[in-house]
Amino acid sequence: MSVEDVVKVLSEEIRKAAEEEARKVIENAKREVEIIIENAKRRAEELRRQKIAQVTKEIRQKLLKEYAQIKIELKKEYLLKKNEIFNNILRELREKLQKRSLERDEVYVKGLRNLIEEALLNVDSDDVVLYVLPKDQEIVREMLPNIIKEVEKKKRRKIRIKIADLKGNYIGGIIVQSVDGREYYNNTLDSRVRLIEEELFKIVISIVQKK
Amino acid sequence: MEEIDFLRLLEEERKAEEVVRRAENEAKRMIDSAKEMAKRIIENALKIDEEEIAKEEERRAKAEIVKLREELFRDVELLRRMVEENKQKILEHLEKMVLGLGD
Repeated sequence: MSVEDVVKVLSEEIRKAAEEEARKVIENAKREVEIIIENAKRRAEELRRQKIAQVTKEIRQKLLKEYAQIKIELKKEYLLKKNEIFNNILRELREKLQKRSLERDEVYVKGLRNLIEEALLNVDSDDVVLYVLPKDQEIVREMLPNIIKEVEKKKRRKIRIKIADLKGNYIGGIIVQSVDGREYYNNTLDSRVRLIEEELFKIVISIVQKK
Repeated sequence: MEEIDFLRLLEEERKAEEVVRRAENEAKRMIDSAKEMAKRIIENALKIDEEEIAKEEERRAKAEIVKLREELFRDVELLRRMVEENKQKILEHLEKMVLGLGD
């Protein structure tokens, strides 16, 4: 091999080595570029998600304040309408009771008897005042001996009852108070309607479901 | 005896270094460009249309109010109808309760 040929071979080797080195440099750079872009896309997606979440949260908080008042108003309106329905029931109930009380019909008289007995049984004292509307006193005096008999039988002791005027604008019913004033049992229709009023929704639902 | 042309070989070495240097420059350019592109990708991702989000959220909040209104008023209507249909029964029952006649 001539010297010229040796130089040619060496030159070729140098060139090839350089080209190989350059190729590797570019290949590595391409890989790095891919990684940079891929990471950037991932990071971008994460940051975008975070930013959207943050902006959405801020907007929702602002809207929540604005719409809270509207929601309160709506619920207020809803409760008013619901109360109106129940108030109508109570109004009609009072009217019916008033009518029965004024007419002192059979149902009212029977009810009055039960209310007196219940009140007497719920007061421990044996010496009581029975407050009755003047219009009902005659009927009460008639039925009282039987009631007393019944109550004494249940209580197993004697009781003393004094009838007094029930003053006030009551529909009907009675109040029992111990003579010493320590015990008091309000069994006026008005008081019983008020008790029902508190549970009216539940009562109405249970009545309707009884079908 | 023929002598080796070292000058030629040196020239070849110089050329080879130039090839590698150019490749390295190109690689640096590619990476710098990728970094620049990455920066733009992130910048673009962060450009969100807040107005559009606000509109969408407002629409959602309004829909919620409409739904609540419908639910509440449907509930009232149902109650009104139920009470109306059973009014006599309800009143009779309540009367008995008040008068201590059972229930």
